[in-house]
Formats: sequence, C-alpha cells, structure tokens
Amino acid sequence: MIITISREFGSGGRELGKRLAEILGIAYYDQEIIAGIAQRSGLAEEYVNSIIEKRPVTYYPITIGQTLTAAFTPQLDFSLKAYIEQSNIIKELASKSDCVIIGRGADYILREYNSFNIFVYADMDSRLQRCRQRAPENEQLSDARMKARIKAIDNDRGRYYQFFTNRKWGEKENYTLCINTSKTVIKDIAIPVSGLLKSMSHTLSGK
Amino acid sequence: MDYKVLYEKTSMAKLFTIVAVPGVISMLVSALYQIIDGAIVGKVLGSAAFAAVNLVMPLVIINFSIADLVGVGSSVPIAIKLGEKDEKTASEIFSSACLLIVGLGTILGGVLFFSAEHLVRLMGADEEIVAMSAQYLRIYSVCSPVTTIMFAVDNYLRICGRVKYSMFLNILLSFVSAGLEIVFLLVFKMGIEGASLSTCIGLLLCVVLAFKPFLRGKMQLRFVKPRFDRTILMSIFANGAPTFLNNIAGRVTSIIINVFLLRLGGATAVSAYGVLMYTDSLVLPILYGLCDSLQPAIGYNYGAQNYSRIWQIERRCFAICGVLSIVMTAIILLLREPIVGIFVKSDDTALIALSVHALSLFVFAYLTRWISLATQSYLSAIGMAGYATIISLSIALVFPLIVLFSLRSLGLDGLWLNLPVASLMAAILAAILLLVHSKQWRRLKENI
Repeated sequence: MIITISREFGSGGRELGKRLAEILGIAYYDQEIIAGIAQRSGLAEEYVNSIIEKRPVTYYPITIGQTLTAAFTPQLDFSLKAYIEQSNIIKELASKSDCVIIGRGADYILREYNSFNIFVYADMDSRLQRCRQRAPENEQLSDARMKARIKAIDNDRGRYYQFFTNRKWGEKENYTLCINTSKTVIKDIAIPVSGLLKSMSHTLSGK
Repeated sequence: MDYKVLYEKTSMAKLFTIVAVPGVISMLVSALYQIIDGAIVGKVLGSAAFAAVNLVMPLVIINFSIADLVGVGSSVPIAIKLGEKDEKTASEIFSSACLLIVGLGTILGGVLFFSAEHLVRLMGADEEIVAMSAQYLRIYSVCSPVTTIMFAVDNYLRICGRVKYSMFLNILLSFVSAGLEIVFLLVFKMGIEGASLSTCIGLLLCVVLAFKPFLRGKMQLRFVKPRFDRTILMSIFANGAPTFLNNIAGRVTSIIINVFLLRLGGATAVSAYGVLMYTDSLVLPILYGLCDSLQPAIGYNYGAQNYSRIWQIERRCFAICGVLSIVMTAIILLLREPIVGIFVKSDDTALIALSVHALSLFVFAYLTRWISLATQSYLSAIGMAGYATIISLSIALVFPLIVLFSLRSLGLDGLWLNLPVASLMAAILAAILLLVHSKQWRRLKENI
C-alpha cells in the first residue's frame, strides 16, 4: 500500500502520515528524500531543501540592448534537476516497499502506482493553533504574521504543484480522501483512518 | 560536477575564473556579431541606412521575442517530461511548440510585411528612410516563419544535452552572417537588403543544421503528431511571459525614443543614438556575463545558508563591476572619436560631431548602471524575483519614460542624458531595495 499525503500548512498532515506509517507498519519517507537528492545531484542538502518545494524562477533576460543572447538559466536548471531526481527517488522507494510519502507532488509522480492519496486541510484558526503549539519557544510572531506565513507557504506549495504537474493543488479529483482536521486531534483519528484505508484498498486494487 | 566544493569551498579567485570568465566571453561573442553588423552598415552604406536599421531593429527583436516566448516557455515542460523519461509527451510538446512558432512567425511576419512602411512613416521618418527601413524589415518578415525559431531550437538542443553543438551553431551563425554581409555589401555592392539577407540566410542555415539531429530520429525529442492541449499551452505562455514582457519593455522604450529622436533631430539623431546603443552592446554583456554567471553560486550558498560566503562573493562582484565600469567610462571618453569612427563614415562630419557629443553625455550612465544591474542579478539569484523585476522594468521602461518627459526642455541633449539619469534613478532604487532586503536578511539570521 502506498500512501501520499498532500497537506495545507498546519493541518497536521505530517503527523497523520507518521502515525499511519506506525500503525500500518510501513516505511515513512521525508528527509531521506532530500538526502537522496543531494547525494545524486551533488547539491547541498540545505540548498535542495530551499528550492525543492518552490516554484522555480522562470524569468531571465534574453535581449540586451539591441542583441539577442542565448537564455542562461542556471537556477531553473538546478530546480529541474532536483525535481527530476526527486521523481526518480520517489518512484524507486514506492517500487521497493509500501510506504507513506509526505508532500513533494508524490500523488502525481506515483500516478501509475495505484497510490492512496490523502489531502489534509483545516480552517485557519485550527492551523494557527497547531502552529503555535509546535513553534519553537523564542518565536514570537503575531497572529497576523503567522497567518501570512501560513498562507505564503501554501501558496508556494500550490504554485510548485501547478508548475510541475499542470494540475490544481487541492482539487478533489486528485485525491482518494480529503479530510478536514479542524478542531481534531490527529492521534484520535489515525486508527480509524488506517482502517478506512485498509477497507478501501480492497476496492481500489481493482482501479 | 561537485557543486558543493565549487560553490562552498573554492577560493574566490578560482571561482571567478571558472565561472565568470566563460560567462563574459560567451556574452561578448553574441554581441560582437551585432556590432560588426552595425559597423558594416554604417561604414559601407552610410548614415541613412544606419538610421533605417536602428529604427526597425526593435520591431525585428519583438518578432524574435515572440518566438522565444514559446521556445523558452516550452523548454520547461519538455525538460520535465524528459526527466521523467516520458519521451512521448515531451516530443508532443516539442512538435506543438515548433508548429506554434512557425505559425506565429508567419502571422507576425505577414503583419510586419504589410505594415512596414506605414509603421516607419508613423514614427516620423522621411521617405528615403522609410523606403530603406521597409526593405530591411520586409526581408526579415518574409523569412520570419523559418528564422525566428533559431533560438528555440538552440534551447531544445541544449535540453537534449547537445551543448557543444549548440555553441558551435551560435558561433557559426555569427561567422556566416558576418561573412555573407561583407560579400553582399562589399563585393556585390548590394544595398540595405544585403544586410538583412545575410543575417536571414545565416539563420536559415543554422536552423536547418539545428533541426538535422531531430529529423534523424536519434534524439530524445522527435517530430510526432502535435497535440494542442490547453493546459500545456497555458503553461508555455505562463513560463515564457515574464521573459517576454521584460524584453518587450526595453524595445517599446527604444521605439518611443526613436520617435522623439526623429522629431528633434531627424535621421542623423537616430544614427547617433544607434552608435550609443552599439556601445551599450559592448559594455552590458561584460557586466551581465559577470553577475549572471555568479547566480548559481549565490543561489546555492543562500540555500545552504552560507551567508558569509555570499557576502564574500557579492562584495567582489560589486567591486569588480564598479572598477570595470569606471575604467570603461574612462576608455570610452578617451576613445570616443575612434569608437564613433567604427560606425560612421569619416566624411560625415555632422554625424561624427553629433555622435561624439552624444557619447560624451551618454557614457556617464555607466558610472551608475552597474549598481542596478548587479543588484538585480543578486536579488534574482536569492529568489527575490519580484524585486529583481521591479528594477529591470524600471530601468527598461519606467524611468526612461519619466526622464523623457522631465528633460524634454533640453531637446536632444535630454535624449542623450536619458540613460544616465534613468540609470542614476535605478541605482537609488536598487540601494533602497538592498536596504529593505538586508533588514529581512538580518531577521532571517536571527531566526536560524
């Protein structure tokens, strides 16, 4: 069983993914993918982290004064390289064993692998609360700033997804299950969700 | 290539040599052909032809830019699909994009062909210039379905890994075009049509050579039945649009300035401005080549959070740009007469005098131009495309237009001073944006 989790920032998607992996006894991949990309492409891990879930910059001047020059696109090349390595790594991991993969457009990358795609979302207040709970102690952002940050991260994710998959992020047709985790404790719903997955996997395998 | 070692650990001197020098040289080679072209037209055909070429060049470039929009915009989905080993979809996008470019080239070529005379007359040129400009533009228009695709195919070759072949073709293009131009103009004694014909034949030859590997069927991309998928088309335009708009902005400014030049000083003024633009084509590639070639190193270290390394690189980059700019300003000032002499016939004393005067005012732009250029490149490298675009649009369109209207009482001198003043404004803008950015940066460092 392959599970991909796409999520709004602060909705608890990552936590849900971890718990599902524990309950179902399958692998959970997140940072390992970054390490893999870094190793295969020769780029630094922190660099990969910073470009990997962002829509790449596609702006570059190709005329200067009265001349036309060849387009010089080093950053785009890196973003594409990282994305392609990521695709390859995710496909390899999925072929190797059952697993849970968080984000990275894995639902699109694994579209031929019969994966179970979950989209986790929640209302702004619940997400704000979860972010505050998990924030480091010395971080003191106002509510407005925090909300802006949450929206910015989600926008980045949406643009990244759209750029590489040509689909709209969060659109229900892309997912097997969309779950609204507002005012919910993830720990409480993890087991029922895993049960749901198990029952649905029998019907899904006919897909 | 081990980027980690190159970008994080190599000494400054070595990094600059490995990265910046090739960047500068490749940019100069592209610019060199344009300059030779301008010089031949100016010296052999005279200043009226030179003015005619400078008048319609922005239109020619706009034509090419539309093809580049599709070329650049389609490169990204093609590269992604090839990376996913989906050669079928990649080839479909490739075929559709090529067809689209040829189609757009035909339509635009047609529009330019029939409106050529009218457009140039609208700008305010007299009949002699109109006739020459129309001739020049018409040849480009007729060839545009098969020549505008050149830079797109170049891109596709590089996506498929044929980087050396692409470089070879670019160099071949310059040689063939320059060679043909010398033969047409000096041996066959052709007029202005020889100039555009030589470039178009050069382009046609290189387009054919560029497509040859694809037609053989041995590349990852092949010609297949094209599929016009709405989402793919939209993503092509979305990817290509920012580049296109940025390039168009500069051309629109050129056209507007040309109109004013014609009104204030006739074709002679247009020719003088042409000399300034060709000088620009020599200076800017050096600065762009240096700054843009450092972008991967900057971006990489930014992502890896090696902020002190970024400071090391940028400090040197800005310093080199500043020193180079001052040196180039001095050289151009000292050598202004020989420089003008490259493009203007020695017996055309009026034009020489005007051009020398114009160049003396214009050259001061380079004292400040490097500030906005280096800042734009740096902000773009660290992912702040928004700020970079603000600077780029300001220097290409907004500030020149503001200065145009502010300095109109100065007549022609106002036009020569257009870039110097706009460049100063852009430098101030760049400094402000850098200050804003460094505040965010400090906050970032505290949050690590």
